[in-house]
Amino acid sequence: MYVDLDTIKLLWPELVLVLLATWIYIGGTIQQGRWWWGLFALAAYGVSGHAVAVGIVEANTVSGPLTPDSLGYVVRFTAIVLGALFTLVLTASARKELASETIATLMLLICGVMLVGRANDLVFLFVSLELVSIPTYVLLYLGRRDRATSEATVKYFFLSVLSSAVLLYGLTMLYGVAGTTTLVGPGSIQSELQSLSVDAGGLGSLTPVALVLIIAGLGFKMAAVPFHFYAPDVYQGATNANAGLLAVVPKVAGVIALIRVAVIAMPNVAEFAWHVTLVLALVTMTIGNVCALWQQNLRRLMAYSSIAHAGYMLIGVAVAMAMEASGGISGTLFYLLVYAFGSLGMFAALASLGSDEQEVSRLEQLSGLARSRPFVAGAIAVCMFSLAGIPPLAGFWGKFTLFTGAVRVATDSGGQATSVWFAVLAVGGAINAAIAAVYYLRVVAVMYFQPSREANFGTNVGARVVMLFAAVLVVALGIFPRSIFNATEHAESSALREKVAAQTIQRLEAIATSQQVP
Amino acid sequence: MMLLAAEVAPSFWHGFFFVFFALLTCGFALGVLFSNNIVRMAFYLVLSLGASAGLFFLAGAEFVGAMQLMIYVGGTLVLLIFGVMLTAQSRFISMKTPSGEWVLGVAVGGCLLLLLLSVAFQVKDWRTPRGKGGLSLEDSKTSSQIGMAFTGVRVDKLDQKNEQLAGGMSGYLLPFVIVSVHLLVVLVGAAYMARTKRRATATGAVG
Amino acid sequence: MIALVSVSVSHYLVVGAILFVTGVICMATKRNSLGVLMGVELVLNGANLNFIAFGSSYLRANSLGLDGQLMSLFVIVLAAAEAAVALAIALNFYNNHSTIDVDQASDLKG
Repeated sequence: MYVDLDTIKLLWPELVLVLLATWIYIGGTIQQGRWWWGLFALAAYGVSGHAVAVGIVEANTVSGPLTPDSLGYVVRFTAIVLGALFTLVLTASARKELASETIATLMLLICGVMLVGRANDLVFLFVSLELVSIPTYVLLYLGRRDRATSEATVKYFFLSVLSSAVLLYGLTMLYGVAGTTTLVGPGSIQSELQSLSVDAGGLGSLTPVALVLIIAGLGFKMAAVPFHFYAPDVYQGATNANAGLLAVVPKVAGVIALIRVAVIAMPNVAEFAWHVTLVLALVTMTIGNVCALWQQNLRRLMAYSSIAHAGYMLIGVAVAMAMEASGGISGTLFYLLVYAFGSLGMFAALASLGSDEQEVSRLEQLSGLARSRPFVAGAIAVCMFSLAGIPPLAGFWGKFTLFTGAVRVATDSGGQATSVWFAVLAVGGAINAAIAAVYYLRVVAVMYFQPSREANFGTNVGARVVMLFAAVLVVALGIFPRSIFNATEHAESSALREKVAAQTIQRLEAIATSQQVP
Repeated sequence: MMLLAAEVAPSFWHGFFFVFFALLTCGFALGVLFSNNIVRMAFYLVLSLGASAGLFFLAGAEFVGAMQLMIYVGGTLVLLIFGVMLTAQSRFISMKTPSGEWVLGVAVGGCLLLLLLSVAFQVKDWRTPRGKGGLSLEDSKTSSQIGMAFTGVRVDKLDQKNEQLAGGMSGYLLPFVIVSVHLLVVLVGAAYMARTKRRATATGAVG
Repeated sequence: MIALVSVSVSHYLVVGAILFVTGVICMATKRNSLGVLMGVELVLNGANLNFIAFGSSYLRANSLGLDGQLMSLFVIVLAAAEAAVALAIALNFYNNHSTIDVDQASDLKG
């Protein structure tokens, strides 16, 4: 009935981040300096990560608004690693007098992602998602203050607020139908919805409407259709470091929230849900890849690439909706990690090339980079190859799992129509991967086969470290994908455990009642 | 008036005030939509939100209704009006929307509204009012329960039988803490964003 | 004489839906960033009405407890926080562009 010591224990890593972020805010008014607070924040992520590692408890019970499943742990580790890496990038590129605020705001943003990863309650989920959004607006501003940034922030802010309002409206419907705010567990939305049919006239007929509103609202965070069009403008107006942040961190939060609500907690609309998600996946990746073809601005190119990757992730979500324990959630998580590090490496490389006078934003600025900056060019090439899905890099395994998941649903599912839909999805994904290779390889070709230009690139040490780390990680994940696969598969089975248990109980009850009748 | 109140059932007045406040809420919301003058829009919004506080009272959520009046009408809208004042270039700012966008917006919005309305009347349980017996309009005393829920004790769900469920109900202490973190970020962020550009470049030159 | 209405959850949902749609259209059509913000407030208020109606023991036979009211309180606070950020953003935009007409912002195109 109360918040007991166990809840505090479960929340300890997030509490550490919040407390130390507050400390940075206060201390930043006394002690200025980038690396002072940058290193302090890195230590904070270290403490928090240690607390996550120590605190892993495989409890079957759901504890209030938090769920201790291993999906949450994967998300928390990812968030902490991303937080530490972005701290390095932002510390090196932020203005000196704003460094402490930037770092602390980023810490709260990361804390929001960690909380989204473990939310088991609608209120908690919504509030955590807002903890991802609000620091993002502030960070966009702290990066740079000119016309383009203020325009980008206005666009991002209003669309973000609209999307969270739409999401909230969907959540009200969900609350009204289920009568509870808990997502999974006994007496939760998931167990209430399990037995509801979606036929017209009943209570369940509202769940499709709620689902569409929720997918639309979370689609903004993922940069998926229909809320995708902000991405190119906003990324172009932001700094390279901030664009990287926007491309990666909200996407993690959006995908996890979608998995938690739409895949796990709404079982009765799965049939309708996968149709919607499948169409969105096809449209999103096609729009992203086709529009990326003729971009000259690197941040716009990466924005369309980010849209396209949101489409790929939706493939995994659709697979997870269509078939129980099909590896859809695991594939999506793996792809999310691969995308996050590939994209982070690219943006960190761009940030490392920028200096105070000029930043790298156009494709031709990279020409001949292989000769002037061979390490940076190599790291960009690795990230591009990975994002394009070329073996043996991590991106290949990501796409491979997603597409084989779609193929498995196409072959294993009973229905004829389902098979056709998922076959189309798999083929569409493969065609899109081919289109995407064109513009990723174009970046590599510009770096390696065009004459070098006179350009004074900056030396951003933090960003360079992050870039190399990301590139190495992408290669390592490509060669040894098994370790991460094990973690994501475990996350999927643990996240679905409550669902499977509830279904088993329901099936047993149905058998029991049918036997009692005669 | 007193006589009239004695003659008709209390449920009549419930319905009467519901229609009254609902019309005010929707009417002024439409006023916000169709007005071109930003000052008038702000005024209509005050009235619309204030009237919806009346709807909250009628649904038995007195505390939320009072908060709606205090925070929204008293706080948020003052902020909005500050915004209008600080960015006003001419005496009355009015910005006309091209008619093409109106047609598109109203068409899409109309379809959405039809969908939501059909949804609202689809469920039988929601269509049927609770009836005279259940409609007791006495003080529902929710504010202390809400306060307890924010500190982590669900007084309204003490009779929860399921032990696992009862153990999991930690109230809303954690979201409450998270919201306070939001407010911290907002304070810091708004302070930095709203600084004028000249001062920002001046400090930038120093740093 | 006003016809006697027995109020049910559906009636509240209708008001909520009207506020939601009005707010969305407002956001889509207003050129003024403060006007867009007013649209947001309407949408959030529509969602709040839904929460209150679903959780109300006056309107529904099976009471759902206080969850709806608590959620709507959180939404009110978040709306206030977002309004503060929005004001700061609008002021900053005004400082940079000398207008709050969002259509004037067209530097970013590809």
